[in-house]
Amino acid sequence: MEALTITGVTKGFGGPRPALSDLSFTLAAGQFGVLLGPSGAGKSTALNVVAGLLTPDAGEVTLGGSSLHDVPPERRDIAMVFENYALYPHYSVRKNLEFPLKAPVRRGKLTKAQIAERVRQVADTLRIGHLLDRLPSQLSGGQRQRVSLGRALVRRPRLLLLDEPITHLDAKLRHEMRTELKRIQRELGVTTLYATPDQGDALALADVVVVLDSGRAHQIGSAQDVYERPADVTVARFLGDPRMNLLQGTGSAGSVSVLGTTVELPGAPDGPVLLGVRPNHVRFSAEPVDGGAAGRVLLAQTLGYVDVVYVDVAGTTVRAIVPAGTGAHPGTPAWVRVPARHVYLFEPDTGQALRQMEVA
Amino acid sequence: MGAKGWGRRSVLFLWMLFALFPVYWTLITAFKQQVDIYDGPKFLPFVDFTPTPQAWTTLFGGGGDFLGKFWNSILFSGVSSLLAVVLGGFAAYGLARYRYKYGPYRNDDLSFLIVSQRIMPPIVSVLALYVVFVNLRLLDTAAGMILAYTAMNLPLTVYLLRTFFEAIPVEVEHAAALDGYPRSQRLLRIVFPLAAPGLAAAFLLSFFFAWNDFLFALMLTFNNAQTLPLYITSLNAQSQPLWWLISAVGLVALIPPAIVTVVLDRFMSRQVLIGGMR
Repeated sequence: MEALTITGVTKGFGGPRPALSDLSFTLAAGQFGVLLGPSGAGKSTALNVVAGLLTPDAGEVTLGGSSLHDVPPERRDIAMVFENYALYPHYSVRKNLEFPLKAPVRRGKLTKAQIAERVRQVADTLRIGHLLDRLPSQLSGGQRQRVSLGRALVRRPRLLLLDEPITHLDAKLRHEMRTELKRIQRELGVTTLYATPDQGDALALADVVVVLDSGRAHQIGSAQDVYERPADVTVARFLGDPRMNLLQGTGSAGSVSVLGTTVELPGAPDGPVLLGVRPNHVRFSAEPVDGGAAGRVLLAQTLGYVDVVYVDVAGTTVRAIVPAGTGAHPGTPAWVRVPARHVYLFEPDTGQALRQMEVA
Repeated sequence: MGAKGWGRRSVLFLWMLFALFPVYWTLITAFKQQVDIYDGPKFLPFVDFTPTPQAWTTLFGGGGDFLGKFWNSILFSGVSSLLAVVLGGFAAYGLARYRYKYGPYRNDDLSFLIVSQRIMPPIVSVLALYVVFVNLRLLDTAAGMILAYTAMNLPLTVYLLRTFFEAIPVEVEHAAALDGYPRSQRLLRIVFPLAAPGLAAAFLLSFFFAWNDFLFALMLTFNNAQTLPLYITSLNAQSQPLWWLISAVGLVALIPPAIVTVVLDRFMSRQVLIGGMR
């Protein structure tokens, strides 16, 4: 259980912009941090810098209060689960799990019996006890993932890094593993940093979310923070499924005109603004409503428990979530209303948030 | 077993007879006397002719220098192949894992540069090599021959092994690093075993090249450092080939490559490797 601090880390690979620029954040001991961002955002680069597999151009990583600068990866006592699992294909599952315990840096610290006991424990926790004598090539994707996690956990590392560990599993297994990861992390209390492009992972797992895009941290905060109070348009766009509606509006005298309607927003700036509203807050109606913008249903998708309706309002598509079975058919007229209390405002050029929605 | 199985077996059996006949012919010739060889074809020992161990006593029964040549062949082939695999392995690993930049040369250029050493026929390079060897006093020495074979085999092993190292996901090495293994240990425990099929194949090819080489031995040796292929051609008496001796030497010359193949084949067929890497 150790705190991880990353200060001003920058890393470039000779491209036009660095893969990671000036990244700083802190994870308290035992916290679960998630690096969230699309592919190419710099998540893996960040993890590799922390692991010591890459040397940052600038900045510092400290673990448990001491700098990791000049500490080679094998002496950092950081464990990592790789996207492709990276099991040792020529070793059985048992040998894969024993491998970190028998490393030169830990020689003589554990007896043979202790090693066997540790392997048994971690195999029990991850329910892979029956697989110990198999080779990695004889395992399914989910099983490999567990072995890979087991290999990382068996030595009780100071820090656990997970690089998109469940991206390649099927949806059902992914949900199971997500729950299990959280449980195991809580049980062991190991400080964890998890990289994923999946906002669902981030919201479900994280104590701290770092939203990365193009190598830059756009926001750092709790899952609730980044979801309810996005710092800018990038974060707002990335979190939430279906994603937030971002509509061009014009502010004047404490109100914003958008979609041909006017939304009363005291304190709204004059001039063009980006107005954000999540699909679940958009009021949809098949009948004309007061203050509603008239449009036409483009498409309706059902998620089972709710439907997502795409409404075309004078060339702008608005996504709205409606109760399942509302029966919006493509081509039928529809009205959408943007409730003032659920509106975000963003500066159109910089994308900075100007106004957050009111949280009840 | 169905008719199809028997059909396949009989075809294979015929093929086996066809493939083994030269070996059989060499074997019986090694036990023939001059008269049995030049007096029309004789196929069956004890029926067509009476076998005699004359060739074998000449080879192994003192006086001859067969054993010396045999040892030369084993020494040169074995050591030069080992060197080619070890040195080529390091070069190939470097090319697979690091990005080099020597002037305008990048990894692929360096790779091509190395392989290009094999583009010209050996007969061209051996002439230059002869001059070099004369000046360095390496003619007809074991060191010289090992050097020549190593140099000749290196491009091949580098080229072959680079693809084998590239096929090992770098994450597996990273995992070993984070698991607490310094670089030397990672090479020894992860990279080396995973590249074993490639290392074995590279060793085999190098060994065969050196073992069967005639040209280099012809140009660069005359007595002390002679090898079996050259020794065989010297087995004449008044421009009459001594077939029984040639056959006996040929049979013995089959044995080391056969042993090397059988031993290394076990490494080459390790197919556990592909699975579990991704």
